[in-house]
Amino acid sequence: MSTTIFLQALLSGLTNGAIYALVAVGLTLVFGVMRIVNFAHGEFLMLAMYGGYLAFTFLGIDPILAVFLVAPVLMLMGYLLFDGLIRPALKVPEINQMAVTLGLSLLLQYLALVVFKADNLLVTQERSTASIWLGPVLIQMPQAIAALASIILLGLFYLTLRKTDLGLIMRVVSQSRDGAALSGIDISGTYRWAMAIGLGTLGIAGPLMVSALYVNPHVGQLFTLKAFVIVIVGGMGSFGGVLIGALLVGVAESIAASWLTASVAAAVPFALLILVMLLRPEGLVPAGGSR
Amino acid sequence: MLRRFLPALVPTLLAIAGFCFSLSDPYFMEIFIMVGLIGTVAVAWNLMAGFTGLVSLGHSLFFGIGAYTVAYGQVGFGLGPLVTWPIAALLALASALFIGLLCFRYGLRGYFFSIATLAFSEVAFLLVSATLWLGRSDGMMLPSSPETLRYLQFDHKWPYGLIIVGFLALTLFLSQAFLATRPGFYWRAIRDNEGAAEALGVPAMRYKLLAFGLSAVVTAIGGAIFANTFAFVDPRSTLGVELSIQLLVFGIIGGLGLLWGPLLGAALLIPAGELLRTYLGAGFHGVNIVAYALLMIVLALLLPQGLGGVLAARLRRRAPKKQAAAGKALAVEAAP
Amino acid sequence: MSTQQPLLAVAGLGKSFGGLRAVSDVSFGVMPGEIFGIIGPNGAGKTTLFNCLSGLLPLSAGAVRLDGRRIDGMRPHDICRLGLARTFQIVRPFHGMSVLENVKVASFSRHPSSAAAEHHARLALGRIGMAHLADLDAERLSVAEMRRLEIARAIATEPRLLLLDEMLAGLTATEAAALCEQIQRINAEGITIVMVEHSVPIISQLCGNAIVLNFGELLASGTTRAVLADARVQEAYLGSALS
Repeated sequence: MSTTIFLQALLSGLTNGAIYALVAVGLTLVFGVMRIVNFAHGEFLMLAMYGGYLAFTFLGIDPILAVFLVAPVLMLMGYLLFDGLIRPALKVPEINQMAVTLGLSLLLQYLALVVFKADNLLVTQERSTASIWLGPVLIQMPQAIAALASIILLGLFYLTLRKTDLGLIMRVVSQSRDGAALSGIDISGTYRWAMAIGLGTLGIAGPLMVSALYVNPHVGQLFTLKAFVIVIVGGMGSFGGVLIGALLVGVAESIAASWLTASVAAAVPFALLILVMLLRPEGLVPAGGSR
Repeated sequence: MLRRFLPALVPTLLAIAGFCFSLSDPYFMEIFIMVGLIGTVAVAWNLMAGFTGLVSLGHSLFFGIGAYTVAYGQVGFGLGPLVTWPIAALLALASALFIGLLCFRYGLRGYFFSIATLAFSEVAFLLVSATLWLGRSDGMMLPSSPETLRYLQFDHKWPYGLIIVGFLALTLFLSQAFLATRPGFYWRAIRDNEGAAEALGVPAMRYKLLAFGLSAVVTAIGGAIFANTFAFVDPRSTLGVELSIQLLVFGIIGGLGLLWGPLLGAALLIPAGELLRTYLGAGFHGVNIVAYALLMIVLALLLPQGLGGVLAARLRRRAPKKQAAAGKALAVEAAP
Repeated sequence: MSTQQPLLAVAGLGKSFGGLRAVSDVSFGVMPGEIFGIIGPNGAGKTTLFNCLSGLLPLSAGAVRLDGRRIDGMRPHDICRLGLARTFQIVRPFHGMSVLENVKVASFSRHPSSAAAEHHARLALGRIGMAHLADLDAERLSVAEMRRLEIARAIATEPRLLLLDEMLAGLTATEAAALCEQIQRINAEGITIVMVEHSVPIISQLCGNAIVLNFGELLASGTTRAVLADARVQEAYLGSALS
């Protein structure tokens, strides 16, 4: 493999990784705060992508502007999802929680199939085919926009978590639910906000991604799985871990894709997970999380 | 003795009745085959999920191992089920022990165990989809042969139905034999409180591996029967995550605390799905899954013991004094 | 008597979580046949010590010998097979099982066949006076009955040494007195007992020898009477608790 090809693979791996990080960070937030794994996380990304597509096709709204339409809708969905499904699910055994979010994932996938059919849809504009040269390597414009937005958002997300009262409350709740309740924190309210923000990030990622990646009803499943891998590789629950995990997965995947068949390359994130399990088991269990 | 095996005997008798009824129509027989096959695999899956507290979302891996061993054994080496089924069982056992050892040694529990199993099956799915000599994502046809018995190739579907009745009965009785003796007690103790169980002398690692191995072997045999019955295997139907999720659906709806719960789930949902598909037409491909999913969400939230749990409780209450114990035996109560 | 080898010998046991030292340099010996007390305020490391002894937590330092044989580093179920059983402070019977089935889980470790395990489980229930509750759903038991179920499960593993973790906390005086009597009876049947307890009167009533833990360290050890009279013990724990 020549240096140029390697650099090209590295760059597209990093841009993909930035987008993965944005998707995974919402999943981590929800898990960290309420100890529930949302298997339907990717389906909400899929909905956000359709949202971006519809806004462009029927209203002529540029995907970048569509973000301001889709993100609030996704936040509202998160808000409603908490009261509709997640709050009751917190009272049943873990396996039933799994069934609830897996059921939701199937439900959204197949509802989307009924509504949108199985076609692959993409937003194409003038800038879709544009690209930027960075030295010897090339980056597609839509990817560049999505990656840049992801980086900005991850920064905002980090600041929210570290510098705002809401962020502080979320960190407290994720460390000790009982302790937080004793100090008068509104647990349900915090959960609701975590869910809203967790899905809201997808509302930003979705419209930007639909100019770079085809959307179909099953696209979310792939992202859910990748997000799981990233979150576990990154040590389940830490912000920095998710970033590292996401970049690692993105780069490993795209380097593999440059000299293996696409299908084998798709297995790389999972193989990476297994490798991490073998070599770094302490990176898997959250500090103070499970017993 | 008889009472102890009631939870295996009653479903077996019902399955025989179902088989006899399905002889009337090849379409019914096809549905019966799917119910019996997937239902039995779901029973094996539930030995882990419902009784040991290990929720595998990667059981399609073992089903696929079974299916592909049979297919490749015949296509590549001309081997029949007499050889390929035992190989399939051994391969599944070895993979289950490897995955189990890896996961348990590092203390993966709950969601983490589920996601890890999912990752393993997904690797297999993607790799098989890319492997030329396994037919890639197009799958493999098992060549037809005049040697009916050697390759289990019949002109009708009913002999496969008969094999599946045997598979179902064997699995139920074997599982019940485990559940009613030491392993069953140990599994339930581990599911509930692993630390306390270990302090009471339960070798948790060994018994978790036992549950995993047993479950994987039965699942692989299910996959092997699938390959012989349909003479065709492909990654999506034998290795896909949909199959693993289906097992969870049947378990949740039928009842995780019962040996026969997942079988009940399969017996209700597979025909219902077929019915929906027939009435709504092929154009609405997703509708039966939408219905599945809705049902699963509602039952998981409102009826954690599943329909089987409700049925078992009712049987126990209705049973007159003499049969009360029998009713209780039928409902080896063990909701997670 | 003094030449006899201790049944349980703990030497320099230490346990830290991350940087936090929960137990450090604790040594003591328990002679066969006695009831041995461990006293200490909350957070003194008593439960951590029990978790280390029974193999649920790995030690950070030191050694544990049961009848002369090193047991630290062994898995809990192996330690149990060698004759060390324990109860838990937070009682939680196995869900969906009857009282008898709960005890059966434990007797399976000595009697692999279902019939034999059931027979011995019934014997264990009889020894603790619970035979009449055998078929009850274990979750329907009262707190005092659940404590006795814990003991029944532990003795069903046929131990030589039994570790009791705060068995009497939260019981009424009558219930506590009845349980004390049962503990003495079990001891008279030949099981050596180590008990962690809050209540000083109960320790001085039951235990010949005792140790006192404070902030994870051994404050005093010896005969219960001497230990309780120790000035440092009075100051660190009893003074504040009793005055």
